[in-house]
Amino acid sequence: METFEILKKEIEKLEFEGKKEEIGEVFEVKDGVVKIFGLSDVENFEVIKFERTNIEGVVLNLEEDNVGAIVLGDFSKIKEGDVVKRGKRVLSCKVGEKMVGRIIDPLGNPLDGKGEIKTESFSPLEKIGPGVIEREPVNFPLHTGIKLIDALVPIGRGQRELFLGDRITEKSSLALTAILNQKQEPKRPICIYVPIGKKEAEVARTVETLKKAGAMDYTIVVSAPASSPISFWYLAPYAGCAQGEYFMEKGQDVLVIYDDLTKHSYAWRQIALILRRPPGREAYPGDIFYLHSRLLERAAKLNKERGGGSLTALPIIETQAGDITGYIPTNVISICDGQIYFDSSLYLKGQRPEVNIGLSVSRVGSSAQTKAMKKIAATLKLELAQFLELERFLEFIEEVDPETKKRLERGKRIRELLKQEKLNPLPLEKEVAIIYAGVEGFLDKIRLEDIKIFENDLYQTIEIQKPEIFRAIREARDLDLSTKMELDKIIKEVAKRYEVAGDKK
Amino acid sequence: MKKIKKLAKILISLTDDKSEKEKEEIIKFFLVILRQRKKIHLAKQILRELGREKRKKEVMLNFARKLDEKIVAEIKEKLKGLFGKEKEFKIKIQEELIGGFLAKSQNYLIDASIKGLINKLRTHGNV
Repeated sequence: METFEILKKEIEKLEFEGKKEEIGEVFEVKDGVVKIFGLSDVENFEVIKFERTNIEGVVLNLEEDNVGAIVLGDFSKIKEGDVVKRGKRVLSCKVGEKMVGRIIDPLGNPLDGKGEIKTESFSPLEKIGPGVIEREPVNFPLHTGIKLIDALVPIGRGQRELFLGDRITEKSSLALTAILNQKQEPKRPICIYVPIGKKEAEVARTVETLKKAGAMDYTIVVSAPASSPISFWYLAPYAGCAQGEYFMEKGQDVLVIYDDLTKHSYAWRQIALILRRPPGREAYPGDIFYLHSRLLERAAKLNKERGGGSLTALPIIETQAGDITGYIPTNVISICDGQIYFDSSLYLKGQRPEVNIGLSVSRVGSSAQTKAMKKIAATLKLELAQFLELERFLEFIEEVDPETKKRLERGKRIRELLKQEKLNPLPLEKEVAIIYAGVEGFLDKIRLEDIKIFENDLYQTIEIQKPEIFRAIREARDLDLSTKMELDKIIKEVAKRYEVAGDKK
Repeated sequence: MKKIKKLAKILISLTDDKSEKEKEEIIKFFLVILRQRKKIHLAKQILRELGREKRKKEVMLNFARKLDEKIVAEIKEKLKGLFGKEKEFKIKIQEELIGGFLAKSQNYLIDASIKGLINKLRTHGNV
C-alpha cells in the first residue's frame, strides 16, 4: 500500500502535457563523438539527452548546419537517426561535503558501491578562475612530508607545481605521499585525487593505500579509468577542480592531484580530431594550451574578503625518454609556478626520490616555507648543486685537497639523508631535525651506510628523551635558539654512537 | 559544404511549382552542366542536401491508427500555429505509439503519444 502511494505521488509530479521540444537527429557516431542535425538553438557545453537510450552528452562544436557532441556513457548504444533533446543546462556535477571519502565519476556518480550521494549543490565543470583582485600571494606552506621537496622545492597553498618525469619514475607515489602527509597537518586540506586513463586495478590499489593510511577521511577520488569513455578522461580534471572549488569558496584549503595531464591531452586530441578541428603540432588541436591553462588557472589563494581558501594543483606529466622540451611538458611548465623533475637515470642509480635538483624549481620560493625550514635549508640547494657539479668533475681524479674532500663527503651525506621511501611521509619536526644535522656537519664522521640507521635512531632518541624538541618545532613552526641548543646536544650524543662504531670497524 | 548547399537551393528554386515532366528536364539539364564543369562527383552530396532541405519543410505526423479526417484536420490546424504555416504534413501510421500522436519536424518535436508518456514514466527516476 505504501509503495502504491509513493508511486502515485511520483506520477503526480510528472507533466503529461505534450510540449514543443527542440530536437536534433544523430547522423554520425564515431568513438564517443556524435554529429547531430537540428538543435539549432543549443548552446556550447550544454547537456543533451539521447531520447531512446536515455544517455547524456555535451555539445562541443556548433557549426553552420550541425552540432558536435561527446557522449557521456556507452556510445555503442547510439544509432544513426536517434532523436536528441536539449537539456537547457550547462554540464555540472554534484559537489558537497558528502563527496569526501567517496570515489566518483566526473559527473559525481558514485563508483564505490556505497550508494547514492545525497547532495543538493551542483557546480559547473567549466568555470573561469578567480581574477587578480580576488587573489593574494601564496604565503602558507603545503607540507608534502618529503624531505627533499619541503627543503629544496617548497610548495605553497594555492600554488601549481608540476610533477614530470618518464614512465618508470615514481611521480604518482610521491604525489600520494603528499596526500598521506596531510593527515598529520594542523590545518588539514581536503585532498582530491584525479586518476585519468589509469588501469582499474591501479586505481583500486591507490584507494586501498589511502584507506589503510586513513587518508580517505579527507580525500575524494574522481576517477576516469582506462575503461571509461574518452569523454570522461577529458572531463575528469575539470570535475576534480569543481569539487575542490566548492571547498575553496568556503574558505578551506584544497589539494588536487591530476594524474596525469598527458592522458588528458591525448583524450582531447582524440575528440578534436573526430570533431574535425584542424590539427596542429603533433596532431594536437590549436587550443591544447588553453585546455590546460584554463584548468590550472583555477588554482588560487583567495584573499580574506573571498574567505581566504586555497586550491593547490599538482599536475603530473609523463615525458618521453627524459625529454622535457616536448610539446605538452613545455606548455604545462610555462603554466605552472614551478616543476619537480623526476630523473629516470637517478631512479636507475637507486636515488629515491629520483628528483633532479638542478632542473626542479619552485617559483613561489621560500615564502612558502616555514621559518624553521627556511633557516636550515637556505643554502642547501646551492651547496647540493655545487657538490653534484664537483662530484661529476672529480669522477676520474683520485687525489683532492682536504677542503674539497670535506665538501664532497658532506655533500654525499646530505644526498644520503634526503633519501626517503615512497608513501612514507615525515612530519615537519623530523624533517627539520635531520636536515639540520646534515647541514651543520654533524654527520661528517658517520659512514654513509649508517646514515639511515642514525636517522631512525635520532628520531627515537628525541621522542624518548626530549619530546619537547619536536613539540616546540611543531607548535612554533620555527627553530628558536634554545631548541637549537637542545637539538645540537642530542644530535651530538646520537652521532657519537655511530662515530665510535665506525672507528672500530 | 557551402557550395553543395547553394547548388541544392538553386535546384529547389528551379523545380518549385513545376510539373513532373518539367522537373525531370531541369534535373537532366542540371546534371549535364555538372558533368561539363567536372563536378559530377558532387551529385550524391547534392542529392542528400536536397533531401535535408526538403525535410526542413516537412512535419511528420504519426498516429497509432487511422483517425477521422475531421480530427486530423483539427490537429493539423493547431500544429500549424506551432510549426509554421508553410509546413507540409506527412501522415504515418505507427502502431507502437499505442494512442495519441507524435509530430516531428527537423528541429522540433511534440510527443503526445501514450508511448511517450510511458517512456517519461520509465525514465522519471533517472532524471
